[in-house]
Amino acid sequence: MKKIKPAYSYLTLAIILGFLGLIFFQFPNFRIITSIIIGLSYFLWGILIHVKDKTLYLPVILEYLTISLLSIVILIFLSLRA
Amino acid sequence: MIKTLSHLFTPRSSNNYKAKSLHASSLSIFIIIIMASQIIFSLIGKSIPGVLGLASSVTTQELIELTNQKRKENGLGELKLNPILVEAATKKAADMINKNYWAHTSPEGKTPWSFFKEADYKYLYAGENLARDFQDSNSVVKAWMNSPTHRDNILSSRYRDIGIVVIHDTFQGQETTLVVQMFGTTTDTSLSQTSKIDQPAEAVLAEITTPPLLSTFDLTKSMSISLTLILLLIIAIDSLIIAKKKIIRLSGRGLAHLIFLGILLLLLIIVQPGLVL
Repeated sequence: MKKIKPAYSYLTLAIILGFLGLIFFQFPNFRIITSIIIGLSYFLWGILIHVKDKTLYLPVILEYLTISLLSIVILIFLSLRA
Repeated sequence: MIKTLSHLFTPRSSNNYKAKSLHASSLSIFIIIIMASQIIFSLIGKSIPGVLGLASSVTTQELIELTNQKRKENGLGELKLNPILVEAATKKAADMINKNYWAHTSPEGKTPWSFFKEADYKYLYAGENLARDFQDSNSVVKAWMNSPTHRDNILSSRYRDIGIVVIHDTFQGQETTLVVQMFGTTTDTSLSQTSKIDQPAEAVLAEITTPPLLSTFDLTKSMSISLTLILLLIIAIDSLIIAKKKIIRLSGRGLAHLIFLGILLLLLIIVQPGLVL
């Protein structure tokens, strides 16, 4: 598989997350589902990048999974309190 | 002590060259802490009323003034507070709280117009706007003005009367400030256009009780921001040391985590409470 230039992959991540962040604010009634999509997007991005780099191992998967879950939990609870 | 701190926050041989607080096991503990704190907040809110909840300063008077101010700015006449519409709005708010729903139409299919009729307000035009969980009146009106349908209600030349209620109560399991705003024009009013209700309006509930000592939203927000900041700092330190010492390890990308948590932090800082319907 062809390697992706790190700068492009980070830019893609920032654009995706920026777009989802806008949705989070523009549609407050859909914050919970947007929170899940934000976390899931980051997890999938991480997996994809490490697959391309051939560096995908269980500790890496768990790292992205826990960070994504943490963000989902934080955003969902804040949305429920908002 | 220093050894423990280094083990927790910096990459070294004891933690397999990755700060212990960034290991999946530590991150899982953070998740459990967040979830446990929310359960504790809910339990305290229910068992000791008045301590935790939504600290809101929304008032009926301010909402009426702000609504009329928006109308004036758009060359429209002021709406008059109508006690019958206030009664209809109060009944709608009570119905939502008693039957635990957040919608213009009740689960049994009762429409907003039923409340107008029950209060004996014979309408030519009618409308209803709803809002919940806002911390101040300005935010409520701002959110309504940003929503085309709510804005249409506020800036409709068809309405003459307004009725608003602000209720602070436990709604859907948490302390909530619920606002019901009803607009109307009676059949006695002479208008150039023919009568027809063509859109729902929203009602605002206007009875604020003593606000709780602490806002669960603010507590949750502060806790989330603090945790995100700590993680950002640890990841930054961890990544810097790894780059400086040129250590090769099996790990996720530090910069990606920084971008992700940075955007999360931004969302947490900007987010404000409140929903409109």
